[in-house]
Amino acid sequence: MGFLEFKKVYKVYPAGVKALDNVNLSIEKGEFVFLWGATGAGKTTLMKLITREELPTSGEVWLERCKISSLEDRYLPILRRNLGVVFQDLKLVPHWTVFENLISPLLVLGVKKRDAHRLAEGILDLVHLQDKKHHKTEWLSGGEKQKLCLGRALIHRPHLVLADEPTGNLDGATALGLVGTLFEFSERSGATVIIATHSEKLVNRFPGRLVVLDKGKIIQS
Amino acid sequence: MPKSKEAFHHRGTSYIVMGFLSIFITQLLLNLFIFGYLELEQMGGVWQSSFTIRAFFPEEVSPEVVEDVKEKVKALPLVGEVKLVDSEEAKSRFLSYFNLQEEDLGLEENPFPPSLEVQAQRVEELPFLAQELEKIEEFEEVFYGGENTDALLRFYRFFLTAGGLLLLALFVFSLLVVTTVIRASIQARETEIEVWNLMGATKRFIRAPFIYQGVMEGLSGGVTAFVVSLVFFHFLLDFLNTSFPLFFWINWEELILPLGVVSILMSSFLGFLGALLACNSIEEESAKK
Ligand SMILES: Nc1ncnc2c1ncn2[C@@H]1O[C@H](COP(=O)(O)OP(=O)(O)OP(=O)(O)O)[C@@H](O)[C@H]1O
Ligand SMILES: [Mg+2]
Repeated sequence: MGFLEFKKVYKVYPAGVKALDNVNLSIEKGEFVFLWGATGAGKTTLMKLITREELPTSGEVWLERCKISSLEDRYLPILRRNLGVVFQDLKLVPHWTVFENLISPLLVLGVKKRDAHRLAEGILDLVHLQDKKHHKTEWLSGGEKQKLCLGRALIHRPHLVLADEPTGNLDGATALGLVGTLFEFSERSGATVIIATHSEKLVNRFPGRLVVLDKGKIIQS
Repeated sequence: MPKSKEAFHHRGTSYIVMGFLSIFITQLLLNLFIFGYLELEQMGGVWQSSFTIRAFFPEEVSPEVVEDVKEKVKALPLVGEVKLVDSEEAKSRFLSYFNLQEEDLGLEENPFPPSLEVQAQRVEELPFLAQELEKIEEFEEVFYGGENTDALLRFYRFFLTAGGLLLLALFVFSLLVVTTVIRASIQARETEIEVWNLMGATKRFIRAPFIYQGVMEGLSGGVTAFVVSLVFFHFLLDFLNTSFPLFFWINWEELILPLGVVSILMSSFLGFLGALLACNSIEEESAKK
């Protein structure tokens, strides 16, 4: 069994929208995956099944031999602490500083202040936000927020990184840089990375596996 | 445990003021009640003799019967202390009361019947206890109190019931206020809570700062009420002592411990309970969504 498995997964939203239609997918540890598909194809839905923001209508989702589609609610914190997620809608707290948003996964893990500071410095360098450390997050530009979100997804060195449209607000060069950062992270730490995108350019620039979603169905993996 | 109380800074101050005020007022009235209770206890002690039931045996009663009845009375549920006053003691009390000598009476036999002096566990239960004693056939006569005793007892009972009910109502009211206040501050932090949840924060981690906020609000209200009431009673007792020096007022120092303990325990408990209820109700609501 792979590191991450989708088995006959269907997701129908209460409104009746069929977002995922018999998805079968197996991803190995350390893989660098592009999840490619048009708007409304079901990319975000697929990610939400991994973070357990949503439950599948039927089928199973397995992560590291754990059936997360039937994980009890009280174990969700354990699942989520081990994920690094760049949310499509970012999920940053606007009135916190960049630093505060950045270290929130570390606080949840109970990392000591000193270590959190050290880790934060490294990540701020990585995403080029060193000079914005104490700025309020709402003052950041759209692209800077996305970089912050990426930093927050990596700071606790997760084994699985989910990046949902991480380059939406970025110019071409910065977008490449950001995906490059993710690629390097994956190479260096052995983490599995899944990037949802509709940009063909990005997909072609990196030697990753391509999974194509179309109207909730996987048509290439 | 991470220091999760740092997880939600930038709190709204107006909420805090409301919670603080309601607890402050509740605690203030509770302190007033405690003062009244202690004062009444004090007066009860002074008027001990009025609050003692005297149950007389007939003159010719045998010592065995007296002992038997005494044990029987001791076993009654409302009874506090029971003291036997035998004929000799009754006579010597009579003599010393009227400042007489034994010879002045010129009696061959002791005409004073033995009696039991009975105290109730709680002063307000005196009338019920007296009724119980009247049912015992071996007694010839049972009575208690002076002319004011019944009125005083009625007041005492009224004070306890009315005060208790008022306090209960106030307690519920401040609990409601605290719960509403904490609920509001939880709702004002919806974004943060969502983010914390997504970062894998536990329920405890997310609740901790709100529980902490509740307890702190409670404590600050309680401690302020404690200080304010101590100052108030200081002046009140000063005034009362100079105006009515013959009355039996409690010492100001005796108030410090009971007021302090009750203030701290009660107010932090109120804050804690309010915050807990708020967290629970919000979690229930979000679970339904
Ligand atoms: N909570 C929801 N309730 C009802 N329908 C939903 C919900 N979330 C998503 N959908 C629908 O499910 C389908 C898939 O949505 P999803 O967000 O997964 O697409 P996506 O591939 O991420 O698109 P995009 O590239 O625009 O982000 C869409 O038709 C969307 O309208
Ligand atoms: Mg999406």
